[in-house]
Amino acid sequence: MQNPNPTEIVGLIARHQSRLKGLVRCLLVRSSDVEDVLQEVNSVLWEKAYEFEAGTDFWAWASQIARFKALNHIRKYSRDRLVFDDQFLSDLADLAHERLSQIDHRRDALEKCLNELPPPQRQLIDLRYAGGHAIESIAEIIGRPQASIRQTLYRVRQALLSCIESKLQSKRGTS
Amino acid sequence: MTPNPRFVELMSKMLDDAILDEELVELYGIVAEAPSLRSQFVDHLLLDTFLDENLGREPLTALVDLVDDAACSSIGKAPVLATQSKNSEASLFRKTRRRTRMSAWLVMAASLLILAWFITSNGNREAFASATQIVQAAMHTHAAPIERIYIVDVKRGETNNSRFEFPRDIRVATQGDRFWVQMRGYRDWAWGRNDQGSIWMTLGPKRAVVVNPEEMGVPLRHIGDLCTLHLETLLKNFLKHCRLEMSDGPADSTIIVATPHKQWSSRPLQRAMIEVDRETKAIRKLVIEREFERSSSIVTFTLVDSRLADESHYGPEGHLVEPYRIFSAETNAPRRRELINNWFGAISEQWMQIPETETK
Repeated sequence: MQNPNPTEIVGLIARHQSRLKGLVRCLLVRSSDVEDVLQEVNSVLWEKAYEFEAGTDFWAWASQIARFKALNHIRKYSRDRLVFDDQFLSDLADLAHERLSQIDHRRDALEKCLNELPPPQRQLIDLRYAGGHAIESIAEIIGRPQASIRQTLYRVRQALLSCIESKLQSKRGTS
Repeated sequence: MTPNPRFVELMSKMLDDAILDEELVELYGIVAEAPSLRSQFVDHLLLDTFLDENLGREPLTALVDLVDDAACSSIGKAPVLATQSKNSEASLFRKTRRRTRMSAWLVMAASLLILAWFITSNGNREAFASATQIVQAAMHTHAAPIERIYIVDVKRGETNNSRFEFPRDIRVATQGDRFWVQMRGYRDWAWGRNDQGSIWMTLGPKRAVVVNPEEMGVPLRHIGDLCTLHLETLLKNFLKHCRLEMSDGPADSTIIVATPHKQWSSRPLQRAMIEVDRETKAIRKLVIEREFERSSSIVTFTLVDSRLADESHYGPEGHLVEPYRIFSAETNAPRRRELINNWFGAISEQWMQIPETETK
């Protein structure tokens, strides 16, 4: 068995940050916990780097650790009424893992779809994500009620998801 | 298929961090009972994560990119520049994401890599001497909590039609993507851009006004952009989106010219040149040619001093004398615009745009 050198393992962990973050996000209750758990995952990956065999599937190995840490976090911090079924969480993790296996295609498609959004929808997405504005603040800037902003944002996200799916399908069709 | 309206409502709230505990239990219950909603649930959460990363430009992502690039060059592969367009939305003028917690682990990892890379470079100067690595070293140097003072010289391009005459010999203090400027002349005043992208300006020693990004009129945005090095962002974009050419510069320096790749050429940056001190890796001179919507400019930043930063100078508080008053978003926009106009005169008429809701 050949272990990766520190530079390679740092590179691998760094290159998989988005996938790991996505996986953890799909399992955790609160988005505010994501960075904490991701940091724990990174520490464990670093500590256990000697267990990883160079040339094998890093994502398969790292995602198991991320899944374990996220589920542990849920068990540890969930209050009584927020206890979720292990099987259900495991199903979500499988689904997220499968989606994240095509992360590069999904990101490319997302970028194209963002560029195709009509300007008002793009402005809303930019305010929310590039500007980091909360819904209340966007409602003030645009001068519309919060509920309406939230609904529109959801519709824009839904449109982006449909667009991504259609681009992935046509890519599958041509390859 | 008609979407479950309750699922839509709760999912929206969850994505916007506005969901209550009991609503969360209800949402999970809905998803658990309807397997067809599980993929929607996962897809929305993943989309939220990608949007956050692609558009938000969190420091964590920036650091990951740095580590990623360093890793590629340190193992002897060709530097990966502009092979991935995931961050093409991270414009030179995007403000930093609000969630800024940085992973201590990644800082350690980055330090380890950079250390390893410097050790390697001492034994192999030729390997070290790539434009990519020098830009990375400059990024590392400029990430230190040191304030650098640059003299700024602005030359207007032919298409420029701005009414604002940029003063000569102004000195900009920068740290990261923030800056502040002390203006001297008929009246002394200071202004700058904070890490939220807002521009603040003092109106004498007792008052200051803060203008948020969404309130900025084109002239104010333009003046701010002219003065901002956005060094961290700029260097990162060099690595990702530009072709780099290196040559020897004056007095033990290296000159790197960055020209955007075709797919990135719609950005304001047309061409940039940096002069990097070979020993300290500090940027001695930076020349940026930019083409904005209404104007073009060649801005030259020349390093004149480096020192420990006084954090208070990066906001108006450090330039005012107690008791003072700062007019920020709590004060309505028309009132702030009136204060600016009274101080700067007619030239500042379009520095702030008033949201329609506040014009009545």
